[in-house]
Amino acid sequence: MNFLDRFRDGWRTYRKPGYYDGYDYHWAMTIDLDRCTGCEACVTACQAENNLPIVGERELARGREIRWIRIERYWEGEYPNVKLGFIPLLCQHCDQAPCETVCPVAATYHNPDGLNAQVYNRCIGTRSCAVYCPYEVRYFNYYDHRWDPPLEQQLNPDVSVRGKGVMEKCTFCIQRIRQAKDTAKDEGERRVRDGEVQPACVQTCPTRALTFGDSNDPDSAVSRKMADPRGYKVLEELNAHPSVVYLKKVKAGDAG
Amino acid sequence: MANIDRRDFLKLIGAGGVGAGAGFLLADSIKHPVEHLIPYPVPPEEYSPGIVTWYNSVCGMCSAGCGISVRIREGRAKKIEGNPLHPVSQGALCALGQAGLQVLYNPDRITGPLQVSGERGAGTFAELTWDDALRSAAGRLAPLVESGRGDRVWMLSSGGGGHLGRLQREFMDALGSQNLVRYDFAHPQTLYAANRRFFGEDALPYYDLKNCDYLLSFGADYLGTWISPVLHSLGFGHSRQGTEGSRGRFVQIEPRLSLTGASADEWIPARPGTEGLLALGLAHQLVAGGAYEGPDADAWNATLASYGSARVAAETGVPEDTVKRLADAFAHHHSALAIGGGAAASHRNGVDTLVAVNALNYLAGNIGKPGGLVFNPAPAAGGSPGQEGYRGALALIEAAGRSEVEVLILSDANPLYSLPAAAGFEAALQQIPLVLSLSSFMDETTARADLILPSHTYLESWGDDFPEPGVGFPVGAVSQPVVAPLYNTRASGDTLLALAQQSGALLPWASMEERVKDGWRAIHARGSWEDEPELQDFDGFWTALLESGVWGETAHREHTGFSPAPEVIDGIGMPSAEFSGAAQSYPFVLHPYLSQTFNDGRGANLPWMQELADPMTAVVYGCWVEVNPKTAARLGLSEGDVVEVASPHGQIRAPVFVYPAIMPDVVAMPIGQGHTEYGRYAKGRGANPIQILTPEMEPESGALAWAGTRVQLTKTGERAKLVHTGGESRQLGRNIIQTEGAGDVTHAGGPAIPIKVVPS
Amino acid sequence: MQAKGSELTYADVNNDIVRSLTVTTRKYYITLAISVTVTLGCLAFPWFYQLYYGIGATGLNHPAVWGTYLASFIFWIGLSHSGTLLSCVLHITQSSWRKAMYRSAEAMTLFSLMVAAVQVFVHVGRPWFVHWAVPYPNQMGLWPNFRSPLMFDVMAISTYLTGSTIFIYMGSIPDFAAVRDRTTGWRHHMYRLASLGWRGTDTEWHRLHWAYTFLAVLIIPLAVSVHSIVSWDFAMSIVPALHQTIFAPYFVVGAIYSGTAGIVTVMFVLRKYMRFEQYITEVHFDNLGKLLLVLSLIWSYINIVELFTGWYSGTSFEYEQLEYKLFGF
Ligand SMILES: Nc1nc2c(c(=O)[nH]1)N[C@H]1C(S)=C(S)[C@@H](COP(=O)(O)OP(=O)(O)OC[C@H]3O[C@@H](n4cnc5c(=O)[nH]c(N)nc54)[C@H](O)[C@@H]3O)O[C@H]1N2
Ligand SMILES: Nc1nc2c(c(=O)[nH]1)N[C@H]1C(S)=C(S)[C@@H](COP(=O)(O)OP(=O)(O)OC[C@H]3O[C@@H](n4cnc5c(=O)[nH]c(N)nc54)[C@H](O)[C@@H]3O)O[C@H]1N2
Ligand code: SF4
Ligand code: SF4
Ligand code: SF4
Ligand code: SF4
Ligand code: SF4
Repeated sequence: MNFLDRFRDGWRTYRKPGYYDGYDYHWAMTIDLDRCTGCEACVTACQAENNLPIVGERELARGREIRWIRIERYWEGEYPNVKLGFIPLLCQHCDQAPCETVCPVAATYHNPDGLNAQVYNRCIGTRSCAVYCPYEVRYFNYYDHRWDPPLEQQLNPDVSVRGKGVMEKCTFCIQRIRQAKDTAKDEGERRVRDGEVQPACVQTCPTRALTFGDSNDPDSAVSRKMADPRGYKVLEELNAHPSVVYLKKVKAGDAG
Repeated sequence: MANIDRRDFLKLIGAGGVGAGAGFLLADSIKHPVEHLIPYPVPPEEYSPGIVTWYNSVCGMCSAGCGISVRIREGRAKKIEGNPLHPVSQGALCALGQAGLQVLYNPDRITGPLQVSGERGAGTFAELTWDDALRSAAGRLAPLVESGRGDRVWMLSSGGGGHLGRLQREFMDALGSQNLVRYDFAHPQTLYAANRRFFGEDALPYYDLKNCDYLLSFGADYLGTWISPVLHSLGFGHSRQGTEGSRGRFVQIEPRLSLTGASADEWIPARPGTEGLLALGLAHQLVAGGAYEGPDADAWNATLASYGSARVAAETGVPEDTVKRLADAFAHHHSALAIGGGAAASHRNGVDTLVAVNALNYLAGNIGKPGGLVFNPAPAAGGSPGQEGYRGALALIEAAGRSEVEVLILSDANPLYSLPAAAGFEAALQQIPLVLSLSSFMDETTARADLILPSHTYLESWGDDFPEPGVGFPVGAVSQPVVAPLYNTRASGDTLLALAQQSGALLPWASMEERVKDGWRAIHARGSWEDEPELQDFDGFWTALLESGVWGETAHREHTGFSPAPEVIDGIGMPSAEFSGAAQSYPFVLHPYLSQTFNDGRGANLPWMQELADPMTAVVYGCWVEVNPKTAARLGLSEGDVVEVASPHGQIRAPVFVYPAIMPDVVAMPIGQGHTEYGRYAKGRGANPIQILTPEMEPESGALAWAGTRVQLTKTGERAKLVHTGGESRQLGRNIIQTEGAGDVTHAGGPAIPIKVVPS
Repeated sequence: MQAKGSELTYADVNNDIVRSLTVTTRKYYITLAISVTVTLGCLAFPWFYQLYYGIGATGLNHPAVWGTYLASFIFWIGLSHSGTLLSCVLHITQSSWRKAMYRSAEAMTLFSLMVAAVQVFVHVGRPWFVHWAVPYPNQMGLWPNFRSPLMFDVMAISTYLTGSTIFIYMGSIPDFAAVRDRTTGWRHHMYRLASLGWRGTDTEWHRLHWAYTFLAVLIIPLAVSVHSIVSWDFAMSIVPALHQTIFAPYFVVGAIYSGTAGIVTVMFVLRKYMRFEQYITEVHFDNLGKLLLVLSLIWSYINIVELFTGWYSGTSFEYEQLEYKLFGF
């Protein structure tokens, strides 16, 4: 095959929907909004696991938060019929991720596990991916961050600390996935079992609103939850094919 | 037994229990041993670089006592996760629990013993050795012990279950002092009192949220800060979506929408202090409608006669048909449950309110039932430690005023922050010749101490915990050091033992570790270990215990048809809540609430918690006054306007946050900021509403009536920027949070109690 | 040596032009000093500061991660447009009034493109790695992402820069020769090299004209495509109010509009301070004014269409964007 044919074939395969289904794993998450209470345990868990910097009050005031998973809150109605809804937002690991298309240096790309990966070393900091991401879940390092000693002793050695000028975002705790895959490989090339990888946010969630797993495995907990009739994808009409499925909040009527 | 899914524990217990056979959590855990079980302070060969070890322990960030697993690499704590074996947390943790690492590695820890140099309170300290520090402290204690004036020594502690609490008592006993005061702002003291009065139990029951399908919460922020939020959240999640074909319904009654209220299906604002009245109103509907058919129905009828829906509606501000609808729903659900707490339980009628809630549960037949209120068997290590509470703190203040306090030992207590200024603790402190603090941090009170004997953090110390409320069966967990101590500090138990020894008040243990082990010997002794030979001998048991981090018995308490004594029924009533400050000059009721991120202020020195957006307002690093939009418009206030919040007992300043979900005549403030000390992240940030609270107490329990203060707001003309995270607070039609109707969701059981709603 | 009377000879023209190259007044040095100071003070120092501390030195935040630098990049790219484009169009249409302004217009293109390139360095978070966005063979076998509109941008702009450079250079060959013939010393040598041995024969003129016209025809679609592509940086995102098909013509027209205005400004400065009243006449300003009027009408139309599309979409987030754009809330 000459170069052009190879290129064309690659292009066609890549563009085909369901391309990633052919791989061993396709990591996915469900978020049950009927369970989530907005308690933000997931937010702190992610911060602890993934070496998220402490950006400080001044920087937060300038809108420079770094929070790989955050809770959005939407108010509705007026007193006394007020409602407040919470929704955790993290990278949706889109199978047709707009952020990947725009990155000029391919620093953010789709890995064979269906993850939207971010290569900090390759990123040149154009911030275009953050503009293109419809979920606004990419965060930029405007400065080099510091940890007041000895807070740095807590930093997770499995996750790199990002320097100034690079973009970062939720990785679905790729270090934990890697660990589980390594273990599985060591134990006789078996597959990673359902439930063996739990990202930090999923692990800690006190209401068990989050479920994580391999959506290629039809029996996994996450696959079963994805099939729930309450399932929907946020901004689905944008056709980014997110790997995160939300389960609708149930609105109870007055009676009962 | 061992193959039972631990997550099904609660269900089993509720459903009638499983046979005895102590230690099955343990036995189960041995089947899947984790790799390391010897705690860190052992030879360094124990760890290999790059290899992770997990140590099980207990979360020390609040009194719920969740089980934790700490991930250690190269001798450093990297991550705290929930211990999946622990029945309280079942692997989950709250945000504060996650942030425990920043207690350990906090840059503002006290690194060694300090002695005040110069004026006390000036904040200048000199370092000294432990030997000198202990000698200096013991030099003041020993003469008192010798001369039999040990009762001039007082200890103020935030409580703490487990054997540290017992050791504090034993230490004080050895000195010859009765004066151990345990005061924790967040302690549900009124709930203990209400249970004493109604059930004759000085304990907290297990609230089976997991199996409950209708929950009425009178002010309890059970998903955020109330008693055991992780346990409740697990139950909530399960009740909501964990069972096929049934979805729990949650109703929240409180003047200001809390995190729990936002997650509930319905939020009902009731006038502050009238929550108990509403509970009695519902009880009235139940009884008068003939739904309650117990032998004491007549007594109930008589006692509830005056709580008709019209009166209740008028006084609570809750529409009459809502009252009826709630009563109807409460009676019709299979497993309905009512709980009360928070501000509703912290008025001067707090105990009455909670007794009313208890009565509601009783009348609906929820006692001892799955999905109801289940009483725990006696805890493994003696009864609950209880709290002297605010009454005790006042006794300390009085004694100090009479110059009867020679030495005050502060263990994990920060009364200058957590007592109202009007209680007079600051003046009392001047009267105490020697103040010893065992704190890890330079908090407000520690900064006024004479001698600081800094303690390890919970991740460096031995300890244990017997969660209160239990989970329906006895559970205990051991807290072990997960890393070597970072600094020249000592576990407070060890400090107490050393002080005792040097003061001539002998205690039989050489270290806290031994004290804890000794306590567990007793627990081991009462078990039967035929099925688990490896646990027969205590060392095997102890090893296994450290490995799993938790121990539990399958024993549960049989429900023996409880009914309250006639005089208890007769005594039920609702005195109206009293507020400090006249309504004319102080038009707003101040609703202070425990912050989701800082709890009672202890989390304010953790940068992760300062950076964590408040769940409701998304404010970070801040403190604010929540005002209803209409009220704000009337007073010409907008977000960021700094107002002076003045009560008859003082004033503080904070910027306004226009909060859509608060009653117009209530203003709310989060507790947690407003530290004048406590490290770089906490110091000088915001205001502490506890400072201006009325120093009144709830008479029956002796708890601080912290919800009973009225305030006025005065615009200062200054502006302050409230820092928010996150984005737009409107969905803008993007349909991000989607909902579906509950029409097709059915309930597992039919109506438990047929009820007719009384027309009034 | 100012030309006298209204009769201009070619020699006069040549002398006048060369005069601007050889006679250096004090004004020039003052202007140069000011420019250097301004460049150091407004570019070098702040940029080093920003390199040291990070992009945080700007007011950018989340989600407004693009700001002044990018706007300014677009502005300079836009400005660059008219120069060469106008020169080409006027060349093809054989407009006689072109001669007086085309050189300055083309120079403006080159300089604008260079300024735009500076914006790229200033904008990215890690400019020391900006070469990764250029496709060059490397050991790792790593290439840029050719699907990225930013990558299209790099390609389009470098093509336009190359085209414009060749175009202005080619047109300048006879002029270089003229300067060569009137200067001495290092200038002579420099222009000798630059003029490629131009002697001004008919054959040479014929070939130059042919090549020049060829390039002019080539550059017109290029200019249109470059700014269309620049617009795709925005239009290809799915951000409300940016995700619009009108963006390409919008950017192109906007670019030509601002570029033409840029030329008018440059011409004004030259005429006034270089005393080129003889060459740059009111006719030029009049003609360019008419062009500006037409462009402004098209541009206004597109602006209205843009707003209309948002409104007509009927989606609430487009409304919100519109409201925000129009009323600022
Ligand atoms: N996949 C992959 N495999 C490779 C290579 C590769 O590029 N990719 N490269 C190969 C080459 S060239 C090499 S040299 C080897 C290197 O292989 P290893 O020697 O295994 O190298 P590392 O994984 O870098 O480091 C080993 C461990 O040392 C710990 N460590 C760090 N500092 C200290 C310290 O001060 N004291 C102690 N005791 N431990 C410390 C780190 O935490 C880490 O877990 O790998 C070879 N294998
Ligand atoms: N941050 C960090 N830096 C490290 C280390 C670390 O652990 N962390 N480890 C250090 C260690 S131990 C090592 S050994 C070095 C390794 O550092 P390098 O030697 O730089 O290692 P590589 O990048 O693996 O390989 C170098 C190049 O060799 C090329 N190559 C592959 N096969 C061939 C071949 O057959 N012929 C030729 N000519 N080229 C070939 C590859 O394409 C690659 O570009 O890195 C050191 N630097
Ligand atoms: S931890 Fe769970 S319940 Fe809490 S905010 Fe996150 S997803 Fe929601
Ligand atoms: S959510 Fe955003 S960052 Fe994540 S893959 Fe999709 S577009 Fe990219
Ligand atoms: S910021 Fe980094 S990852 Fe994002 S588009 Fe630019 S280079 Fe790619
Ligand atoms: S999956 Fe991991 S990286 Fe992503 S939000 Fe959760 S904890 Fe953070
Ligand atoms: S609820 Fe309390 S004990 Fe449990 S994790 Fe949170 S802070 Fe720790």
